[in-house]
Amino acid sequence: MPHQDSKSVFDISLQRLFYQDRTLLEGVYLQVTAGDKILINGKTGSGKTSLLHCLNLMNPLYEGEIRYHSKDIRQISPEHLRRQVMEVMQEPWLDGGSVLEVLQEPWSYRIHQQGRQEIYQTAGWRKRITELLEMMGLAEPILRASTSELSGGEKQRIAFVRVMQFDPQVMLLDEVSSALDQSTSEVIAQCLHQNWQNTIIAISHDPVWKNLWQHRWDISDQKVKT
Amino acid sequence: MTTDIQLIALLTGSALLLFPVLIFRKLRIPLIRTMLISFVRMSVQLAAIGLVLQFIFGQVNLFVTLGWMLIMLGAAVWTVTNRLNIRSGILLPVLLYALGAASLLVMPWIIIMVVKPAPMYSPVYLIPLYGMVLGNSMNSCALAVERFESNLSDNWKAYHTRIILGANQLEAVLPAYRRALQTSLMPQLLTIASVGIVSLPGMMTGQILGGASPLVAIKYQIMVMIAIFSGVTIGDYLAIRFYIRRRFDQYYLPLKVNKG
Repeated sequence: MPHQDSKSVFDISLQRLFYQDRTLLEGVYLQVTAGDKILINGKTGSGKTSLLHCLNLMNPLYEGEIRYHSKDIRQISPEHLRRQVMEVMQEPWLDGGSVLEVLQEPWSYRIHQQGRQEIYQTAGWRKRITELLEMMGLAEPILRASTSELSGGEKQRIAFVRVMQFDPQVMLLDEVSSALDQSTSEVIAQCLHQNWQNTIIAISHDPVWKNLWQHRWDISDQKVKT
Repeated sequence: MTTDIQLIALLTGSALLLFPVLIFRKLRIPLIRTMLISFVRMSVQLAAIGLVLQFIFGQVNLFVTLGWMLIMLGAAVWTVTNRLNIRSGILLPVLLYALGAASLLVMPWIIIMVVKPAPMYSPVYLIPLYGMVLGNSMNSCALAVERFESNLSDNWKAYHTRIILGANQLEAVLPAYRRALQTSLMPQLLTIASVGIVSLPGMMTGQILGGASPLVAIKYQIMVMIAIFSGVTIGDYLAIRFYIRRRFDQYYLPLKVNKG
């Protein structure tokens, strides 16, 4: 069992992890500290995505306990957890409308958090968005483009900006580069490598991302090795 | 009073069904059997209900009236449950709450504030009015839940994206909820807007045939339309609201709800 310290973001101690009725992993004891960049490695069907999805409660099928800042995640409201532990999907979904609207939409989930509803109308927010777009190799005029005009690579980068604007403590990346061409994938990897201080836990087979990771979780034979 | 129809005249009148039979035959549409069964069933049901209603109207008893209204509610819930491809264990309580709550809000309102019959529980008023409110709410509820479910299943990726971006349960289903209410209420509004010019509603026709002045009948009709629309909206809103609770687990992940 890993010891808990103040910088610990996740303390994972699972006896078992399931997918439907099948046991995928057994005896998983892992710790994530602030700023860690972790790559989850393993064969298809070995349980990478199921493990990743435990961390934002998108997969609650496990025996054991996952603590986020020493609180059992099952005791945290799902929306509260998912606003700090945010996921970028393999194939992102963007609503119809303009890119600007897509970036603003998640703010509407946070209107009951005091003062937050106005943030996305301020100049500060616009500046931050422009910054993030530039990091991702996109330019500000794309905000007015319709999402239906975007290429796959642009959509993925917008999906990143949509999450990064909230500075989430943890980003979960589920094979985000598998549908991208080499150069887009490199842009995103570079951006995260140079500019992202917070924790990232990712599943990826992409060799251009290899510089990013300090830690690996290798999954084989229902075990996770670090 | 309305002129009674002789039984023999009713039988003669049913010869009108010869026309559909001829048309179905000519085009070889296999509907004749179904049609005949439907009409026999309808006649038997109405005859039975006629006898029951005659008994209830003769009693003018609060408990008998309320008891019959409960049976009506049960029948409505049962009808919708059978119509949709959603497990009855999930749908039954949802519809019972939704239709029950809509009835409890709308019926006392129109009875106490508008119609004011003496006594208040007079079955001659309560039962036909409730039938109209409930019948419409029942159909609309079925449509609303069905639309909601299909909006969701056409858009799981959108739902999934909203929850991983930190939406709570209601925020994540709101677009589907909104569209479902809109599509289920639209037909109601179209009907309301066309009343009078195209069709005289059943209740008004009944009252006029019963000898009431068209001006009185119109007032009843306006009130009934308001009661129906309000009941339908409340019913649809609550049905989806309750359905959401049983559609997802505590982590907002979808549960299995289909029959079989």
